[in-house]
Amino acid sequence: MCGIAGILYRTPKAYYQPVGHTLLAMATCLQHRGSDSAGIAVYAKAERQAWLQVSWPAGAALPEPREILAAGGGLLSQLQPETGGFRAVVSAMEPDAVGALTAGLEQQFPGATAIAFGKSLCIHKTVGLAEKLGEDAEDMTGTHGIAHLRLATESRIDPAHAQPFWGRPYPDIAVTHNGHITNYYKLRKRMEARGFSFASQNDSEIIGMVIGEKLAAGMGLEDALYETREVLDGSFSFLVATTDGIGVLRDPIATKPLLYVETDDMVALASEHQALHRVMGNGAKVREIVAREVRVWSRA
Amino acid sequence: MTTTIIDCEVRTTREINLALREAALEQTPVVLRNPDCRHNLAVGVTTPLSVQIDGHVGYYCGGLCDGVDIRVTGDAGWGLAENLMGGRIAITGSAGSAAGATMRGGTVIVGGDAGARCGIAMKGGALIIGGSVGVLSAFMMQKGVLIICGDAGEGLGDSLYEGKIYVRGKIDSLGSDAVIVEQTAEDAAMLESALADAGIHAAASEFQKIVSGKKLYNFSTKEKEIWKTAL
Amino acid sequence: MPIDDATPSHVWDPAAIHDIQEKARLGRYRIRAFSTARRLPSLEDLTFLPAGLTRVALEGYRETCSTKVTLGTRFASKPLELETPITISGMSYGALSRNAKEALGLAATRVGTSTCTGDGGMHPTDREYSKTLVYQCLPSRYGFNPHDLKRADAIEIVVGQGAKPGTGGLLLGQKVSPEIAAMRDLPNGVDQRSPCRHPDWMGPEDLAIKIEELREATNWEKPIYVKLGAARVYEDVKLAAKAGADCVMVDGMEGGTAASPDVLLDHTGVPTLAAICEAVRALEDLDLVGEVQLIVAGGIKSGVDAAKAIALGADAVAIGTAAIIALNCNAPLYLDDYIALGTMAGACHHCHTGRCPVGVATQDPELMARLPVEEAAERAENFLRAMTLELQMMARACGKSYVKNLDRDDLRALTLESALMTGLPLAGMRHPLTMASVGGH
Repeated sequence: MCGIAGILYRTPKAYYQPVGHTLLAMATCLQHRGSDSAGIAVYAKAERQAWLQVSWPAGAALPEPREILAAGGGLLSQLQPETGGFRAVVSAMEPDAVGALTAGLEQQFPGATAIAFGKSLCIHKTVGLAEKLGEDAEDMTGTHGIAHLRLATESRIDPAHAQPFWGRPYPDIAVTHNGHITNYYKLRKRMEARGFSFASQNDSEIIGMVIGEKLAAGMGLEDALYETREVLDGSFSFLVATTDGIGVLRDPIATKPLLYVETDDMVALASEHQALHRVMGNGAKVREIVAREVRVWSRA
Repeated sequence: MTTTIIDCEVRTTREINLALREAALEQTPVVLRNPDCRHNLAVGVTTPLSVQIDGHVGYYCGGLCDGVDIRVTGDAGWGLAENLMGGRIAITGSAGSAAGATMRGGTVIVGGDAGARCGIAMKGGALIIGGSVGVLSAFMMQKGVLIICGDAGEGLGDSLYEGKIYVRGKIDSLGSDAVIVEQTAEDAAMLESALADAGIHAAASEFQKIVSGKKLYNFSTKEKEIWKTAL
Repeated sequence: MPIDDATPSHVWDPAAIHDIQEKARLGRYRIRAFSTARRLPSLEDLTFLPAGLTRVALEGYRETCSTKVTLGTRFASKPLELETPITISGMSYGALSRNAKEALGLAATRVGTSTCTGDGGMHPTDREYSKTLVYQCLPSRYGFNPHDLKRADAIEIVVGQGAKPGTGGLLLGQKVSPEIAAMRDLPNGVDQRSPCRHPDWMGPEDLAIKIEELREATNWEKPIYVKLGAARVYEDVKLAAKAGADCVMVDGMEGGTAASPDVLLDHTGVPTLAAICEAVRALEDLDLVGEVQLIVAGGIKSGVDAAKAIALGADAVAIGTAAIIALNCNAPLYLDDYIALGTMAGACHHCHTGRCPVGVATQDPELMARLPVEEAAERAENFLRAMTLELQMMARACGKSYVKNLDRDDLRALTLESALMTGLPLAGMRHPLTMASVGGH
């Protein structure tokens, strides 16, 4: 129950577009759709190594870096504190290893939550209004990204339940969702039985995990979305981002809005018109993602 | 006659709508500039008023109105002209979901496409869409006329009670108890006049007509097929 | 377990057998009216702790105990000022006869409370007879129009009703008379099935915009209620309040209806007792107690029920079924007509048939004539006055000069279930039960 937005720059080899700035401008236009929490996920040029971002419970001090690195069982290095938590390099990409690492960290440091992982993905989330995301988020550059304004429905309001959600344990997958997945409970039980660990009680978290599993099995994003359409029940308009671009899916009865503008250079997506016109100009031709529609845009 | 020009950028929605009410009292036409997709513009105006909106509007533009003449050069969000009683609301661009929802009179014209549930629970009036409409349009339509110059999404006219739907393009699927019938000469005359009024060039003969099969009027075990999902 | 030849099975009891055979005949679910027939934990399971030596009780008649309540203080410039916190809930002209609607309007006006249009629009006499009239905005939008909206005193956006949350209304063809059909823009005599969702908004973020639309259309004058069928009460109340409602109405699973699939009546929602507590907790967590008023409905039968609801944190209650019973519903008159319906006075739940023996829930002119408006209005007025007196009496006994000052500390639970549902101490105990105190984890 929320506002969502996305931006993709298609200019070849342009890795330093003002993605954070653009997403925050769009988020400001959608603020009225949810003020419980806000967040953006930005994709920068891929680094050589993958980073894990962990959010730390508000008010609690970070332990000594070596204590965290020790908890990483040799997989963590280059720990850097950042607003609300830390990031560190992970010397593994395999889902099993990453899943075990994040679950282990969360167990050892209660309240800590792994919020992003990958070579290009970086996520900033905050409780409250989008303006609280601050300059760190605003200054992020890259090729594309997605944003979320949350109106909490059934699960808690805290950074771990804010969106975008990382599609854990898979690298570089993020999702921003408006709606409610009504078969979340059973889906989650089945995924937990297969070894997945969840960071929240928020139904939206499962979407990126469902898609991530299909991508990891070798499926393309478009096919993964068609399959996901048959797996999910309930109301949804969502954006899923990978290193390559952004995909979208809307539920069969079009309960939640999703609009887009596409030009040769850019694709912008949002729940409502004004966010699109703000960044694409008043003359932009706005189209609707229709019921049941799957669409994928790749960066250049 | 003087025209009141309102720059939305420097006014709250409250101030804009109050200014519209004042203009309605004085019978002064109004031009709204820089609407910037604002929600709830020109709602609840129940006395004659002419409003020109230069730009895109948000949700419920012209909702709960009677006797207005609203023209929008741009797109609209959800619930355009919802529950309109009388008058005319026309936009040049596209409309979001539920355009003309529960309208009971007057004319609504959308130059471009309309989203899902266009004309849902219509109770009268005429809703004319220059482009295509989304899923479940005219769901539970009760009265009135819906004219779709483009294509229609799945479930068109599901469970409609009365009212007439005309579609020029392709219909993805008809809803429960929506049936295609032959056009009459009366239909053709009405269509031609409505299309001319909307400034749309199309011949009445290009449209298919859809009405209620009336099998959902009263429950019957003899109509098992149609009732299996309708209740 | 051996049974003799004449003992029915507890598994396949006569009611279960009848239910299966009815569905085998009908080919659809069964439809009935009234409310759930289940025994549920309820306000009945609480008791008051009146004043003794620790507190001073107030005398009746001489020492005032105000029952006034103001609803819609958050954003509306013209909140409702009611003489009693007992209001009449939404019941449509269609479900009820014209005479019944008029009688309720007169009675409510005479005691200084509000009544409500229900689904199907505002009949001219609704406005004429009701000094304070709440106008419902429902998924069907039958008869809905901006002129009536502007003539209303408050607007109630109906998300759901307690009898059947998550589903739409029903009015079977026998009650869709030409007048009702015209008011609702329907063909005469159709089985009217109302939608379960609003046509032009879908979720809480849209609801906030919808509420702004209704406010703009009515100059921010009128209180806007959001009515919820009690299910996920805590979350729904929070979202309604966040969307900008002035008042939230929560209708528990005992809530009434003039027609509903029976499985919904008996198997959906949560009891009013639980719903009140969840709703209050939601408003407390948002720090909106007193700013957003809470109206509670669903099986409220008496002034003491109203007093308990208020003590638990409600600002007002709404009665539907109790009000029509006061009119004459289920009265022992025209006994043959009850028999013809296959029921009897005191057990009738046949509003959906339109053959109401006492003229309350019918559109048949002959049956309706059995309910003279003035006499019925007097009964309803008397009942509202009696309820208000009971409410006052409880408040005075607890030493309160305003009924709104009744609170949780004035109550104890009489059953384990109600103690756990409400978090009130069990009678005789000083503290609420915890899982530890009942031996759980």
